[in-house]
This record gives sequence, C-alpha cells and structure tokens, in this order.
Amino acid sequence: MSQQLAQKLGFAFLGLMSLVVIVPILLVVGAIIYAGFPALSWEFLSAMPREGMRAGGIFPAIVGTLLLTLGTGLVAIPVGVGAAVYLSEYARDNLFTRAIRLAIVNLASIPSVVYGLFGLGLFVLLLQFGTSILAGSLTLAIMTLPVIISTSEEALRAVPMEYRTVSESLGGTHWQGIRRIVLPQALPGIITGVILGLLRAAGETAPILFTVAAFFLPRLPQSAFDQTMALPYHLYVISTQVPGMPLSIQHGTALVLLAFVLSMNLVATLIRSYFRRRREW
Amino acid sequence: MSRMDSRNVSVTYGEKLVLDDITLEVKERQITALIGPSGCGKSTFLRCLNRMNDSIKIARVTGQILLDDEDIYAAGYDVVRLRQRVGMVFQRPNPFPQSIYDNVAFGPRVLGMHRDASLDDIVEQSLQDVGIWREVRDSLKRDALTLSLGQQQRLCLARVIAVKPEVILMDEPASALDPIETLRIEDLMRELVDDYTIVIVTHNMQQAARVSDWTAFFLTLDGQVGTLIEYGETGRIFTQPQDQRTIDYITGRFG
Repeated sequence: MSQQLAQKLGFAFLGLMSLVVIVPILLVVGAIIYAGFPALSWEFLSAMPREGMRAGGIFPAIVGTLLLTLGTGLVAIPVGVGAAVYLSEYARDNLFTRAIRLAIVNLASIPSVVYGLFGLGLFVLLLQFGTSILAGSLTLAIMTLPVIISTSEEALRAVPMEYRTVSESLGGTHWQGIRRIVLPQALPGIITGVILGLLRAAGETAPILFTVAAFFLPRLPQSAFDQTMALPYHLYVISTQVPGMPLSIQHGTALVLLAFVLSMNLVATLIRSYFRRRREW
Repeated sequence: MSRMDSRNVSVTYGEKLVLDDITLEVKERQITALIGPSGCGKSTFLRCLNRMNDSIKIARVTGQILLDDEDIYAAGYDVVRLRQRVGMVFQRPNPFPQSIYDNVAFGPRVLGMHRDASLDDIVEQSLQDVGIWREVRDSLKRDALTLSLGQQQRLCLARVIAVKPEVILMDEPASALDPIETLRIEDLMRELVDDYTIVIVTHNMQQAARVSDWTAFFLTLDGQVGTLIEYGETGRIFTQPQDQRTIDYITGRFG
C-alpha cells in the first residue's frame, strides 16, 4: 500500500513537472494571440509601415524574414547536408575529423551576437557585400550549420550499416548506396534538422543586427545586395526604440513572427509523420 | 567443371591469422556447402569469394581466387563487376525499406541494366524464379518489410538474381526461418542450381546433406586459425569421411 502510494505521489510529481513546462508556453502563446489578434488585418500584413511605423503594416518585414530564411536555406542546406554525408559516410575517424566534430559542437554554443559581429567583419566589411540580404543570409547560414550538420549526421548514422553492405553486394558503388538507400532513409531526420536550424535563423535578431536589418525601410528590397527589414529586428525596434508605439502593433508583429515559426514547425512535423506513415504496416 | 578456384587463400585480421591456406574448387552449377562449427572461418571464406571483406580495413587476403582464370584479388580488378557476377544472400533477410519492386530493381538500376531490358520484365522474371511472383504481383508497391521472413529472404534472392549473377553465395540463408520456410528455400536452391553455381554456408549438417553436391568441412585449429579439413562430394563426406575430425563432427561428437 505504501509503495502504491509512493508510486502515485511520484507520478503526480512528474505530471506536475511536465505541467510546469507546458503552462508558460501556453500562457505566452495565449497572451500573444489574445493581444495580437485584433491588430491583424489584410492591411497589417500587406501594407508598408506609415507614420514612423506607428500605423500601416509590416509587409516589408515579413518579406524580409522570408527572404532571409530562404537565403539561409540556400546556403546552409547543401553545405550542411554535404558535410554530414561526408562525416558520416566517408570520413575516417582520425584527428582531423575529430577536430571538425569538436568545432561543430563548439560553433553551436557561440552566442548569436558573436556571429553577428563575425558577419559584419567578414561579409559586410572585408568582402564588401555591405549591409545586405547576402551578408545576413551567409551569417545566419553559418550560425545554422552546426544544427543541420549534427542532426543530419545523426539521422544518417541511424540507418543500419547493413543496407550499405547489401548495396555493395549488388554491385552498387558506395555513393549509389548512399543516394538510393541511406539518404532516403535519413531524409525525415535531415528535414527535421534543417527546419529546426532555419527556425532558429528566422527568429534571431543579433546576427542580422549588423549585417542586413534596416531600421525603417518602407519598400521591398531590390536585390541580394539590398538591406531589408525583418520581423525579429522590427519587433525589437518598435518595442524599444519608437516612443508612442501602439501596443497592438507590437503584439500583432509578435504574433506574425510566432505564427511563421510555428507553422514551419508544423510543416516539419507533417513531413516527418508523412514519411513515417509511408513506412508503417 | 570448376567455376571459382580458390588457391592457397589465407586471411589475416591485423596480425592475427584467421583462415589458413584454403584450396578448393567451386564446381559449376553445383551446390557447394561450407560446414563447420562457429568461428571456423567458413563465412570469412565465403566473403572472400566476392571480396566482401574489402570493407573490413584490417582484413588482408593472400593467395588467389580465380573466376574465369582471372584472379579477383589482382590489382585493378573491377569489384563492382565481380559483385554483379558473384551475388550474395545474407543470414538475416535484409530487404531495403522500400517497395518490393524497388528492391528487385535496385541492382539493375545501379548497374544500368534496364537500358537493355525492361525493368518490369526483369522484376517479374526474378520474382518468378524465386516463386513469389503469384504472392506479390498485385502488391509490388508494398513495403518489402511487410512480407513474412521467408518471403523476405526469397525477395532478397530475387534481388540478387535480378542482376544475372553466375555464382550465388548464401550465408546461412535459412537460419532465421522456420522449418517450412527453410524447406522452401532448400527446394528453391535445387531449382536454381540448374542455372547458377551456389555456395552455401550452413550450421545445419542435415541441410548440407540434403541440399548440396559438394561439402567442405572447416575447423578451427589451436582454437584460432580456421582451416579446410576435408572437401569432397557430399555423399562421400557424409558416408565415408577420410579424416577422423570430420567423422567426429558429422557424427555429432562436437560442434
């Protein structure tokens, strides 16, 4: 009886702990939806900001964030997945590859503002890309790489060794085995890693602060060498830098950013469950 | 007639000799069984025949294995082509986690064979050869892992047959299967031997006696080094073995 009781108390405690994790998330999301939803309108999503951003919409910030996420993906996905394939399938376990792995782990723990300064030094100034979408995307891509590489490598390693052996026994080259069997098997895990990485990039403020973000630019960017507004930085600006900013616009902007990030997350989950369901019987 | 000819083949793992001086001829369109207790090197030898030991970095093979009078271990020998000519079925059924069709089509696709013949025809013929065409013809798009283990193993055999090999190596192909499925595999081997040369590793002496034409008995000497004790026609090995150790093994005194 007392053991039964102890078990019940234990489960109750564990349940409470999970609740502690979930409640703040629900509160934050709930509060933002509650306060931000009234601000949403077609004009808010599709118009340029007016009156020093105190009225009008946030269209250029939405477009900017989409472009930056796209640019980050264009750079980080091929490089990151390529590096993961190399590390998992080709690299021998020696000092060099161990150093690479160590570097990847350490890159993941660098504060994002340091990436921002690095991007400023390398892309904006040294390579003279200027404050631009190109510089911002490259900076975000570098920041995203560790996540993409380590999750992709993990997904590749989870594919049983046997499939590679069988592929070779049928006359397939090493690469054919990887492309036809290993990569498709690892794809759900890779996609998850890629989206998690891009999500982080989409929501970051510090790396774009010095490399691309415009304080107020009521037009769309014309080229990759143009500055752009972006949702996270715009949110920071209207929350701290502009006096007399209506609260609803702040909450509305936060809601749009949140919706963007969460919907990407949802897409990742759907893709994963689609692949998993295809495998089920 | 000999199809593959092993001459003084030895294998070392690093410093350690694991297989010593194997000389035997694999006869064309016959089934050769490699028997012996665990760790006697019979699987290691089997894997030498299509160079599957290449991926073990510390493994080194000396001696010669001739296929059409060419040493498959000669420098510059085309390993991809070798694997097409000498296929392999593994101990555990291991279809790719893809459709039945894609499994059989894998080899022809990577080897570019479908340029000469229709992939559909190759797939159908291969599945017919292993006797599961009727069972799966309406569900070729189904995940191969939904099949029973016995069907999976026959699918793996079809996957090998699809690349039109000359020799098929089987590493204890029935050890994961129940008795009925085991018998079906054995019957299948007897049918396939009309067209293919088969080498099978088996723990199961009855299986070797039932299915094979030739039997090679391997044993570990000094508890370390695998070696070939006796090789001959299956009927003779099981009724009039020459070596005392063969007699002891087949009468069940050890192993």
